Amino acid sequence: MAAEHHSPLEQFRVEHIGGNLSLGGYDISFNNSALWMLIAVAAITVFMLVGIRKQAVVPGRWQALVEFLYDFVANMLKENVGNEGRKYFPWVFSIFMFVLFCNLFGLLPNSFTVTSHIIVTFALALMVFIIVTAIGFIRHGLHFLSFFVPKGAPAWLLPLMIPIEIISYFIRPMSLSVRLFANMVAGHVMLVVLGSFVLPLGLAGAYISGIVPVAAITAIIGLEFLIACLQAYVFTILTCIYLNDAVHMNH
Amino acid sequence: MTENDPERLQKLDARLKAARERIEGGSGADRQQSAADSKLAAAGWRMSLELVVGIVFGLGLGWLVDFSLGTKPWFMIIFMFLGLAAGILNIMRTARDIQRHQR
Amino acid sequence: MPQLDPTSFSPQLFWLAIAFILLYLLMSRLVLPRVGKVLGQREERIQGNLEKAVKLKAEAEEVLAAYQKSIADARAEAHSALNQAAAEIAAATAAREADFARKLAEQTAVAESRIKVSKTQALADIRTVAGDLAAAMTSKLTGVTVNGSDAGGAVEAVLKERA
Repeated sequence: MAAEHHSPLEQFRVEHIGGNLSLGGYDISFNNSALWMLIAVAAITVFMLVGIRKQAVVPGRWQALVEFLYDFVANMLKENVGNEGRKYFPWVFSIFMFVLFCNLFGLLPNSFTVTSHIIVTFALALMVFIIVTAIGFIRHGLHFLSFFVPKGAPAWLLPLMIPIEIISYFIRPMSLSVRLFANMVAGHVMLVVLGSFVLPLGLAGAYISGIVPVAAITAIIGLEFLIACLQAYVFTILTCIYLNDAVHMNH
Repeated sequence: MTENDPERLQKLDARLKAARERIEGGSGADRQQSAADSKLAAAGWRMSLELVVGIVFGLGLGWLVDFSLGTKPWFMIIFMFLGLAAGILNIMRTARDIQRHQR
Repeated sequence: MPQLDPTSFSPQLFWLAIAFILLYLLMSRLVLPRVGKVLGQREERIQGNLEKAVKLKAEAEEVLAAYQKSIADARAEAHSALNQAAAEIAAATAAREADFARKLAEQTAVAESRIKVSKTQALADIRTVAGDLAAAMTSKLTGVTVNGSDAGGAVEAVLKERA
């Protein structure tokens, strides 16, 4: 998969597709990253719609998978937020599916991993942060600020505790985005580096020494698949946990 | 009508109850177990970054304050420790969540 | 690292916003309601089937109860019929016994009165025979002729003495 890449980081390069576009002075040209985002959106929609099209009472495999994903996110939301979380379900489900499909598509040869760009993961995390904070203020008004005052702490500690609470609140989007970004980048760099061992060796006819990296690549692709799913899960469950904080205001 | 009809009815009763529990009571024990496992894994991932991000965020914030007030390097140091504390706080919360879920 | 190239930020942010908003609209308007509907229908159907099964079971129990009740009723009826028959038989027997006893008593009374009559008759006969016998014996032994009625009076006196 890495034949045409010179550097392991080459796969993360953003390349323009078509001409330059701009909006209000900002460059908004279509590129491979945008292409894979739209591919993910289209794939998710088609996958869900085709899976559910028969609306069978006894589901086939595909429909069962669609229903599993629906139930999976719905249960996550219910366990962490309770019934008040129901109205945020489409939003949380969109986050989960978007991250999951972008992660998984990144495993395809010659694809582009949208979630390996910090700006994308940070934008997603920032969206979660802003929406959750907005929900907190809409539901509780200014009372939401008392979220930053730890309960049961002695008064003389508050000048120290409140900044710590605020910082711990503000580092959420950063750890959320860096975690996803770092996992995706690390896995893909590893894949490409190992791939670059396999191809020259294979071409040179050194099949035996090529076998080891092939086995390693197979194992790592399996691991990457797991990590792609797990990171989508982690991103979503943290969204649910933050949502719960905003809805119920308890740490 | 035969003699074991009441017995058959009782068996039917038990099966109906089981079906109702399956639908309403939700999952069996192993499904809950695997859910708990994945929750633990997720919690591990959550913890892995908090300290680093906390410190980096503190350093960045401190640098900004120092830059604007010309107080280098004091706020950087203070905020680094605050960021570290915030990271520890997040880790402690995660650990408490895990304990709560395990119970 | 290409990720840190700031010129790639604005197009990615723009297209991310487009893609995510599009995804959100597709999911919330089109996809999720459909999946939710299918799941809801299934739940309803399962719930309905379960309820039907519970209802059928209740009906079966009702039928069983009715059956058991009819058996019990029949048993009770048979029992009471049996009791009644026994009582009737007992009553008939008692009546017949009473009748028999009454008849027996009547017959006994008739027989007793008859015996009484013949006894008094016999006693009276014995007096005359004894008087005659006494007169005949007196005349034979003493040669004195005794009047029959005198002898009768003497016998009467002796009987009274002894009685």
